[in-house]
Amino acid sequence: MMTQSIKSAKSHQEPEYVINPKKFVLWLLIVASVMLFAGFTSAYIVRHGEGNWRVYELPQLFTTSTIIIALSSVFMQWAYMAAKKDELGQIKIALGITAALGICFGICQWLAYSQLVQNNVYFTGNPSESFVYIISFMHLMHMVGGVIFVLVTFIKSLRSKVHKKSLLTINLCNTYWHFLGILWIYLFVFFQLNR
Amino acid sequence: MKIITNVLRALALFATILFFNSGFAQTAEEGAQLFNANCTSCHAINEKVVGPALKDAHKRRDEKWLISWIKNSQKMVKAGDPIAVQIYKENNEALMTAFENLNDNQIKSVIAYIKAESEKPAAPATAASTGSSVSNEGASPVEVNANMRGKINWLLIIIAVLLFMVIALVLDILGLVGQIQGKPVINWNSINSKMALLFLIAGMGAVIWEFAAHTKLTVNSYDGASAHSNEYDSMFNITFYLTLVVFIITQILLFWYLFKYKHSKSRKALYFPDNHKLELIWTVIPAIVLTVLVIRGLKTWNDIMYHKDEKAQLIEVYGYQFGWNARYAGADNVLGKHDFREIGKVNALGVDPKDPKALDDVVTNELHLKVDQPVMLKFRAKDVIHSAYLPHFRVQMNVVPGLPTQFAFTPTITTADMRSKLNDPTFDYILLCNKICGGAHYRMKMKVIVHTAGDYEKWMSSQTQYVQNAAPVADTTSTQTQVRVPAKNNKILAIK
Amino acid sequence: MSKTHSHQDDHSHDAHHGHHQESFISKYVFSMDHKMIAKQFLITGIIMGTLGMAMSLIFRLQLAYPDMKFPFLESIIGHWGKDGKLDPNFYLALITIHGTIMVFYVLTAGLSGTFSNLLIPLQVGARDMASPFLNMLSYWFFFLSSCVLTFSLFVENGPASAGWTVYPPLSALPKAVPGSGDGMTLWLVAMILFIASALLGGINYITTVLNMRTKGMKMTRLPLTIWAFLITAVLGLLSFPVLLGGSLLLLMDRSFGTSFYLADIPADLAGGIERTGGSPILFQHLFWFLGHPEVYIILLPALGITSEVIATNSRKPIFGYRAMIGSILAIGFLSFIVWGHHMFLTGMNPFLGSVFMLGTLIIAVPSAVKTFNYLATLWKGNLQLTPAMLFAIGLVSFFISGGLTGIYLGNAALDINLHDTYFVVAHFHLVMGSAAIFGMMSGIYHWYSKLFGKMMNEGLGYIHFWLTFISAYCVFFPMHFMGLAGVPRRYYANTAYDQFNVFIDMNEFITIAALLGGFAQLIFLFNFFYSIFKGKRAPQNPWKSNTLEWTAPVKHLHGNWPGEIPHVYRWAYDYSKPGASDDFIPQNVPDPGQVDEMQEPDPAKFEPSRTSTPAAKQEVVLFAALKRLFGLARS
Repeated sequence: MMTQSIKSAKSHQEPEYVINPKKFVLWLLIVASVMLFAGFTSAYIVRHGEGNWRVYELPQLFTTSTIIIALSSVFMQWAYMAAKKDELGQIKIALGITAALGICFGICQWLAYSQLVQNNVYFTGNPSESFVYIISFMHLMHMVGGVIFVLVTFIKSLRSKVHKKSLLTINLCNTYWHFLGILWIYLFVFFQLNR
Repeated sequence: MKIITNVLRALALFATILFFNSGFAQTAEEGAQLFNANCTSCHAINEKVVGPALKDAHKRRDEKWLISWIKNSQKMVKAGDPIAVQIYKENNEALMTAFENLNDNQIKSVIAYIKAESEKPAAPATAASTGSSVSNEGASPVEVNANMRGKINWLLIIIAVLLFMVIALVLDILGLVGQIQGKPVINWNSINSKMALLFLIAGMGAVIWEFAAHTKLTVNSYDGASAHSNEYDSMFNITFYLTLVVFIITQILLFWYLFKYKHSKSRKALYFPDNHKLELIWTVIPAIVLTVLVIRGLKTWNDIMYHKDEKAQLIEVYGYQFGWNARYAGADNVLGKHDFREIGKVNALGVDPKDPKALDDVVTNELHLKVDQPVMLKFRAKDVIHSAYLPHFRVQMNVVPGLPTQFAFTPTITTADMRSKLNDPTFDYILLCNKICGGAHYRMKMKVIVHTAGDYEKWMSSQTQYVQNAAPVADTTSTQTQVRVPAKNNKILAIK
Repeated sequence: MSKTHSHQDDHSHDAHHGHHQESFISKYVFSMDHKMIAKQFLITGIIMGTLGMAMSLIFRLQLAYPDMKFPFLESIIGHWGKDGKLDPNFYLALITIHGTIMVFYVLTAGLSGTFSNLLIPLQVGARDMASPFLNMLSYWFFFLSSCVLTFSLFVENGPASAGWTVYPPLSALPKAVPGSGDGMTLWLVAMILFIASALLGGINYITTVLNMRTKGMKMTRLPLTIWAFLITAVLGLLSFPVLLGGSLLLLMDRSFGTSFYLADIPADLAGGIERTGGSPILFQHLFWFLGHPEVYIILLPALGITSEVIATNSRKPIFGYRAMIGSILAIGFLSFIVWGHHMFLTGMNPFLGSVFMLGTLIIAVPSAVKTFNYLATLWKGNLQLTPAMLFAIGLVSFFISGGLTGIYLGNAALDINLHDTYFVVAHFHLVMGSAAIFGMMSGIYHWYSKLFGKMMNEGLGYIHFWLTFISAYCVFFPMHFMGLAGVPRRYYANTAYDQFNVFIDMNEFITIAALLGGFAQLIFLFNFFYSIFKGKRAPQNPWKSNTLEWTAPVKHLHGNWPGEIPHVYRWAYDYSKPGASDDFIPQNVPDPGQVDEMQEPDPAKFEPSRTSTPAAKQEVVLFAALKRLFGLARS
């Protein structure tokens, strides 16, 4: 309804953008997200410095999920390269695997929580315990958005709407997905270093 | 009518005096102390504060009910006691502090005090109760007015809107007339610029008047009562005079320009977009002034905060909703250990009775200090964040649950000296809560008394140690053993 | 709420309806047009502001007349005002919600939301925001948030009452104060929605400013309003997520039994689970990491609006354009490293206190530069005293008065005796409350014709200004003295303290002044809504201003300009330029012979000639003396 009239207005003159606005918006969202986790991790460090901090083993599954998310990033990159080269079949396969790995990551995190509970690490325990739950859970929430985004791109690719001349969606998807991967690896290393 | 009530009051007074003389007075007096120490932050006899007015509480409920309510009201509410639930609801579900540390006899003495107070005729001090008794006979003038106000509210709004419409219309018409005449009827330009000048002069006058009239009410207008006050006050004064100069100059310029450079068709504004030298000046000058302030401020801050004195006397200030306690470290100058899980169980402050260091601790609900004796206040909170604020000493520190804080200072003026200085025989230092902490935040205070050395020793020797050597430490499961404290103002504590 | 205002908008646009084939809903409710969204923000903000103002009047009555009964209270607030006595717990709720509404809903969303939305596309020369959809979402998150907060007033235990800073444990323990029950949960939900709105809005503003400027609109040609909105949005983008994190942790503590902020709280106080190991101060760090930039999120747009209004109405270029940008950038940067000055007395390491104190006092330098630049802009101007101009001048006056007391409070040592007293109340109500409100008012009077195509009644505007200005000073100036006497803020009554009871007259005076101020706002409300229907038709450029929004037609169009977007050839402040025929040259007018938009005019040509300046004796004595002192008689 509205977009119509905006488009017609824009057709007078197509402004030239330095960066595509959508891409810019995504980057700003990533900045906001970085600030959120920066807030969390600084809170973690501040609290850590005050003592009375329970030290415990992180679940094995966190390592597994780190490998999974790193792998998925590789596939995502493959999909993007394939799109650049216009190899439609490869895009579909790579995106499909990425989405599946994303879902695997989610399941893996969930299992990691039960592993934590088995090790007597509870959400309501010492803040050292609560922090791991809440920070990884917030990342998981970001992951949910990411997987949905990948699935949307995947469906688009099934309809052959992702190709050399229509790269925006997969470009955005690629950026966000790598961000999620890097974010998790940062968090994983952070947890390992600040116990 | 009035004569009769007066006669009745006199009779009641007479009866009360008789009643007090008959040995009952002792309990009521003890009750008064307990009441002032524990209850006044939320209750008064004749008026509703945070909790309801306690007048005739002994008539409304029986003693057993009251004892159980005072000890733990929440338990009764949960158990479904209908009256308890009703009271809880009536008071907007505000929780009453549980006084499990008070024993039955102590609560009875509090009730006795309430009884005695309820039967007292309304003295001038309790004007509120007179007001309410009048309103029972017929609505007081104040209430009548307010009631009528409620009814004519809507009318007022309608009238206001109509009034504004008329003003707007008149202004519009005048504007049109002005357009036709080619000369505005109301020259807003000149009115506003004159208003600006008037505001400047009247405003500056008001500021001068205000300083003349109100400066004497501030704590900065007389000497601070602690050793670091002088440094604090001189820092304050430097800042004050600097900012005052800037304030006066800039405000005068602002409104003067408004007046002087008002619109005129014959004049053209000066095209003056930049002048780097000027900008440099008003960047550098504030920077220099602020550097002075920063350096001086850092020195003052560090002098106050890093002030350490080996001989400082340790006193713990314990804040809870809604009151304060002071715990003196005693002869060994070491405070006994405490555990938040034991608060209200072993004793009100959760001090470990098994810790030998705790044995000589003394607990009061007034803060007594020795003049010229450095003190280190250690702060501890029971429930939420409070802030211990002693304005006359230039002392403040937040009191945070789970996070020990402290403030060291030296009181330099005794209460008596300050009273004579201020020519106010009722003056008292206070420690008040300065961090929002709940409904009775505004009544959460503790009296602070600064003694001469001799008076302080005398006062301290009349205090009883918090946990006596004789306390049956091993026998923790036995029935309540009481440690009675004879002195005034001393919180009476029970040890299980 | 939406119904009311969309209804009103409907009428105001009846006259020129039918331009677009849009349904009522897409035009007035779920509109994606930035101008409509600006109106939505403004009107929601005004409604919330009225609510917040009404609350302040109720608790002012309590402070002035602690022993009097006001039976009408019972009819407004029910059991909280039984027998006409305000309940102390509800007093706390009122101050909490008053603070929340004013800080977030009026001065963040109502001010920055309205004017960023209205002015960014119009002043940079864009058809709309970068993402109109996110922009619409931003408003609706804000609207939802307003609804949740308003709804929280009606829950059984009352709304949040731990102060607008909601420090735990008070805000985390429902047993500590009634308002920390459901009311507090709703407060947090409202805040999370609000943050979502602020982030979506901010992202859009930044993208639009950086990415969608018209040809020739270099960053150094942007009006100062846009610079202010841009930095504001950046501050919001960097600080709001941190508050989001802090609020989430608080929510966990309240509802899921964690203890991030709770230490040594026994089980019976904390809903059956013993809470240990947390840190109440942690929340304060997270809160003030947002909270302090938030002060500038409020203030910078107001200062930006003031810069624009003062320059236009002085008929002079803003003095020191680059210094103004520099000071905005400096203030924005410094605001991130000074949050600790709210926490000097939390028991933090005194060294940290020193660091925060240093940063805080440095902020005074760019603030001083801004103030002096405003004064220099007024100097030798030709001041059109429109209501917008008066409000802008009022802002400068408040900014000085309130800013100077900041030098006391930023000083850790002085803060010891001033922290959380009425001195603080006076300080921030002047510098952030009144100043920002005046900036908002200035913006409303200045751009009303852009919003509604009508003019507001000037005369009522003047009455509104003088009443508000005088009453604001009468309300907040005396409070300094109460603070210096040690009267703490957030006290329901001072009756328990002999030393503070001497202020009862002052409190009464303040309350009467506040009522007067409240009355003045009724004039404004009347003028605002009346003018939508009955105001004079606005000319296209009523204030003879240079910026691009005045080149757009009065009638709102999607895409803002009917034809091509105007190109920009100059900065926004060519007022009273020597040699020009008019006393203003709009940004889209090229210099004679200028073809390339990016080309800067030759500065040599525009050196103000000596003959055109008035005689030196007209200079204010002090100004002249200062200049002579530093050998500056050049200009």
